[in-house]
Amino acid sequence: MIKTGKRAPFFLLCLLAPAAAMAAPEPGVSLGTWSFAGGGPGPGTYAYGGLSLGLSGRLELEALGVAEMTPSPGGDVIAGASLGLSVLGPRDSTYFNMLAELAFLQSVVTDGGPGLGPSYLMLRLSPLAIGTPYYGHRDRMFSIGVLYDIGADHFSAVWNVLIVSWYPF
Amino acid sequence: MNSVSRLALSAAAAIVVAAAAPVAAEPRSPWLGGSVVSVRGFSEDSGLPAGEYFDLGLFVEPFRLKFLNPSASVRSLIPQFPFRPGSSMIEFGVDIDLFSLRDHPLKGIMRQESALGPALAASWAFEPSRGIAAGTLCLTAHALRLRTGDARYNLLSPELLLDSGLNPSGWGLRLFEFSYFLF
Repeated sequence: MIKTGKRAPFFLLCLLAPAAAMAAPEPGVSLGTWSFAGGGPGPGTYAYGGLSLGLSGRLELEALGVAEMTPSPGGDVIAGASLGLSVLGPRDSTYFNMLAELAFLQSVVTDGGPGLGPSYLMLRLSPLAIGTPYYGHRDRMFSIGVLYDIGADHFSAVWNVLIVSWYPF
Repeated sequence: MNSVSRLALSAAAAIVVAAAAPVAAEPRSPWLGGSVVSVRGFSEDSGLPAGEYFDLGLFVEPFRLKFLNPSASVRSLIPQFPFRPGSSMIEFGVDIDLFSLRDHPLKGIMRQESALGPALAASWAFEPSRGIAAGTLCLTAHALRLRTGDARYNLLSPELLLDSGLNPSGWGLRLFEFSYFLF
């Protein structure tokens, strides 16, 4: 079990990522679905939102949130940050790309009550990323990941059918 | 039957009648139909298993009317997370696109030229093992329906559910629903 003090760097990262995203060039806004298979907060439909920025030609940082939509809207909410690597080429010029992400996720609302719940590490692969920040639009399709519940020492899967990103600037 | 049930039944009947009305209408669409896919879930009080449903089917949209454009669909709803194929449902439905706006505030989020076409839908979902009569009536509002030349994209469509006695039995939400014209 990770103690709250040890989580501080991750929280700092979660807080800094959206601020940096708005200050840096190519900030992106993402929306998508999020499915937990065999783990996470529990059965239901979840929506995913994120704010991202490019750190280098291939690296990007995203602050993200995952919220339960059904059966209890807002009953479980997770916040986190991910570091993404464009596998097939620079993120700005490779129209068909693949994205690998490493993320820390923290439950901030559990069963309808605010407070820190389980923490997770996630490794996710988006095998098909179409579009680039240069074109103002990118779709990540059929993303699949491994979710590790740090406290429960349990592995499960996550799945995103579609994540759409917009780069308005 | 209470007033909510009467209102819901009237809405469903109006959608079905409006969908059937333009049988001989023009102009015809260059497409007849295609495939539809959505991800959806239901409220705790709906009596349906909690989880994420994957919804896959076929639709037909034979006309290209500027107002009250109808379409129909048949789908299968499969609980995918957790995976419970035994609780899968079949759903028959009709949609009515109320109007179509080419100049709309959500143009910026689409890569292609698009039109905003809010729609209302009524559908009947049932588990084959329980029989078609023991189903659920779903009344859906597609407020965010974006149309392109060969697709329809619906986002965050809320649903009102009524049981086989037409009493309100909960609600649902389609996170997204994409329809692609194929034939």
